[in-house]
Amino acid sequence: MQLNDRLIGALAICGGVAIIVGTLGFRELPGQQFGSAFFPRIVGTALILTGAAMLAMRADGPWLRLPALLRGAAKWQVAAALASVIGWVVVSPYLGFIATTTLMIWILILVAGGRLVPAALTALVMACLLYLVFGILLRVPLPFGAIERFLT
Amino acid sequence: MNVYWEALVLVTEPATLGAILIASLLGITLGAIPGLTAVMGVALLIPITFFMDPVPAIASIASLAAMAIFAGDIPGTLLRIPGTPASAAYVEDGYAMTKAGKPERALGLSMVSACVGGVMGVIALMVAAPLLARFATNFSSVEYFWLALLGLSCAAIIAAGSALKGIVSLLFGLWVATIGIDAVAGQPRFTFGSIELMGGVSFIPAMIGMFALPEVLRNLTARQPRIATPTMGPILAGLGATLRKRWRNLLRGGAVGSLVGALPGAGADIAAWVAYAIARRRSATPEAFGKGHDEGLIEAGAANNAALSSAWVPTLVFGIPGDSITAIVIGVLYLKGLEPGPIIFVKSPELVYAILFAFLLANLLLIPLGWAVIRMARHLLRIPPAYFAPVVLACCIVGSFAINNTSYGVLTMLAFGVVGWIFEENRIPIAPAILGIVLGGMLEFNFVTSMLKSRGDLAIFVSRPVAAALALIVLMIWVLPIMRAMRSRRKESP
Repeated sequence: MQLNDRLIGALAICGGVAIIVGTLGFRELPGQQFGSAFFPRIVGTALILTGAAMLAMRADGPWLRLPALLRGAAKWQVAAALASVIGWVVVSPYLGFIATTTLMIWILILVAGGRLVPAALTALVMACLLYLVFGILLRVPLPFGAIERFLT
Repeated sequence: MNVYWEALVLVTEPATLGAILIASLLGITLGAIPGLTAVMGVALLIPITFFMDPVPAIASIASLAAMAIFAGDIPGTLLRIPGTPASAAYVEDGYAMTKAGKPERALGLSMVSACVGGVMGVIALMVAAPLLARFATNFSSVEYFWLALLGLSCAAIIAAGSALKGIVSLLFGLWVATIGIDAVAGQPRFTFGSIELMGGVSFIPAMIGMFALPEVLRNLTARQPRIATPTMGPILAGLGATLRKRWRNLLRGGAVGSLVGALPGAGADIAAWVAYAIARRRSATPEAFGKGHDEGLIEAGAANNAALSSAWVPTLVFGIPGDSITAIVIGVLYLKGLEPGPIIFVKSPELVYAILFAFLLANLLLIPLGWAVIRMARHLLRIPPAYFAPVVLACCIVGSFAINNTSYGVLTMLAFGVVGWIFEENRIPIAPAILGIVLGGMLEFNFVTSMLKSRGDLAIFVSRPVAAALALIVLMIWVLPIMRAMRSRRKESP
């Protein structure tokens, strides 16, 4: 999503204000001159000043423009990619790493215009390769499922 | 001499040599595929380096980056699609040679130039870094505060297209760095009740998300036309004669790249453009540039790999990144307990020299591996983005998961990936945000402890000559763009 520079400035000001408001709840330590809120408040103030400078600059173009990535079929591909990450988090504890990752890669290749069988083969080989590198060689405790149980 | 020997032993250990070889193969493959950049490759490598010892970890990053930057010339030369931004300066010359039926000549020249430039950059790194480090060993926390601020300022103001957007990115990173339990007072900040956020935002998933996810989304939605790659003759034939004729371009490119790369915030992209411009100005046939001429290709090709090596000078000596890759390297050095700065040269010089030797080895490997990948280029260029983009996404997921062995890392990667994509869409540079996350904690700690020591007297920050000089440089970096903007506004108004 492409924003006008002035809108980015306005958002920076909002962000700066939010940071400062967020620090109001930080408790002060007795005798401590510079507590937990000190540095974030400097960051918040700097954001407000930078946002104000951006607001003061000349900015051409509409306030908000959808990029090519979010128009036509591309928007579904982007949505599928983002949803697949959340899907992986939700499903992998039940299906295990290899099955979930194979499924994810396969679906995404198909969504992006790949062919059914090469997509399935690519997905399976790459998921197994990642399991070999991370799960076996680097000993990362990847989500365990039926396939992993069969392999070990 | 003992230190050099120890370093040589470290770098010739099978684990280090294996890491260099595997990372080089990975880098040269990633760089040759259009759409995959060296920075993204380094970001994806970090989770693997997490499990390595410091020397193989850093050596593998250096090798991957050197290979990927050279390999970026392959799609540039054959398809007019620069694989990495650093190849863009001379893409027209390389492509014109391909159209003239000589792709092997363009790629051969790129390969040898990259190797010579890279070696020159490493020599610059070997000479300059220890000398600068000796000067900087007397630094106190105040100087370190200014150095951190100098690094952040360079990344935000000099390297960014728009200084204000660079500052917004930096401040975002600094805010992210404050998330979690405060190191001074033990107060949870901006955790929104989440136990995971108490430990702060993990640098690696954030970095993978910001650098890699936007590229995945771009490649996933890309429609690549059917590619017809040209057939290639022998790569090394006639190269010797050309390089003997153009030795001045080769050496000047290496020297310019080494100088520009060592400037904080400059990097290989700028070095390549500067070297190309110099080559054109000094050429007897400037009108031939962009039409398949070899001078610019040799000079800029040498410059970008030289800059890649010399960008490590400010990184290792001062903890100031030379470019996006070294911004990531700073984070890895901290993770490995090797705090970049002059002290690293005193505390563990053998590690530093081992890294330098590894760099040299990686640049020498460019010739055999470069030759092999040029022969294989036709096959690599045919892989459609629809197939590799989902695989890269799976690498992002497993890499983020591997850091804490929980899905929290994966969700962090996703959140920062969306932020990174919005940043890229709006030409907000990502490197300052990453640096803010990495250096934010140190900046706050040095600032707050100095303020506590001086009971709030800001004069402590300019109380020593070196600190005052650094403060002046930082001030100039901040004030000059403002003055320039005001002057151009005054000129515009009638």
